[in-house]
Amino acid sequence: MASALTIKAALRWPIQTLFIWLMLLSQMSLADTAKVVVMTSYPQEVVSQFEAAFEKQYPQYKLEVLWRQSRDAMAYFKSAHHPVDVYWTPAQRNFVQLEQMHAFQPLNIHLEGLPATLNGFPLREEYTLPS
Amino acid sequence: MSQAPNTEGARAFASFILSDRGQQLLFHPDIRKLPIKPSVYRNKPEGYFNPFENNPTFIYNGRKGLTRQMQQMEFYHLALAVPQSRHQQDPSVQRGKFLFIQSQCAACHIPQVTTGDFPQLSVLSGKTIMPYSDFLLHDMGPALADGRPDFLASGSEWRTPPLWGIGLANTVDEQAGFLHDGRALTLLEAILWHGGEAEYVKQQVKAMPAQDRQSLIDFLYSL
Repeated sequence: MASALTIKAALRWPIQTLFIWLMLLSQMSLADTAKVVVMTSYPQEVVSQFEAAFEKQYPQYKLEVLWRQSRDAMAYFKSAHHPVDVYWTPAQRNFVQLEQMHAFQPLNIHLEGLPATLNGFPLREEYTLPS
Repeated sequence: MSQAPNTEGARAFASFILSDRGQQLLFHPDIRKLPIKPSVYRNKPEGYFNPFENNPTFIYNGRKGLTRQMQQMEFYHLALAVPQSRHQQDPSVQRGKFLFIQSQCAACHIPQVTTGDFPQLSVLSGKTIMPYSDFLLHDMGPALADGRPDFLASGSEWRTPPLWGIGLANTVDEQAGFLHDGRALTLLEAILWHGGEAEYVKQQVKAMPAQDRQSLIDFLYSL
């Protein structure tokens, strides 16, 4: 009994230290790969290609994909769900609706070489148009 | 999005999608979509469509491009003929046709419809067609319900699908299944999935002598 107590006591300190290290490590690795929440209606074949290539180019990010068809996506945005980082979809009417709901913020990314409109449909906001 | 918890990550993802690398992924044989970045088409696979070709101002003119193609595609579909029905003189097929009407299948799968005015393609105006459908929504009961409302249709309502050409489904695709999700392997199985407004009709089919049921199926395969 006495010896067991001694062993326990002897191990207590290193085990505690190990736990602290593991916690620190896991938090560090979480901080290292911050998640990017993307809502999309694109099928698995499309998304998995982009997911793999994106995570390869930006190893600090991990993609979290939320699949929603156009109508379900709007329902999601209208009710108070967990916020989404990027909405990636071909549903252009949703974009118009979401813009009216002020659901977007300026992206401020380089848009050189990209058309401003497609078949009369604006692809970007006024404030990002090149001067 | 305005509430984005990870704005930097959102920016990285959007930049990646619009980058040459991201845009080129769209050429992948599993994806095959059209990049929005005109310069990416320089590396397009052979024979891949480039909507920006001869269009250096990056303005995609719908009237010249997509719209015209859509109109041609629509016209092609409008002008496609329906498969001719077959074996109409077969006694079993004739018996099946009688049973189809008698057991009320024809209440929703209306055999004959006359089209209205169709100025877009006048030969289709006032034409008597045999679609075997009323093109209306009906509640088909819980077994077929997908619980997903779509526009005016509730989660258990379905539009009566036309039956013309149904007898050739397996000629076109050996693996073809019936009903909205292809769950029924045979036409009889498809009938037995009917419920809701069609429950009574299904019971009529179940109560038929085996030979009558076979005649009904023979008739459906003749369409």
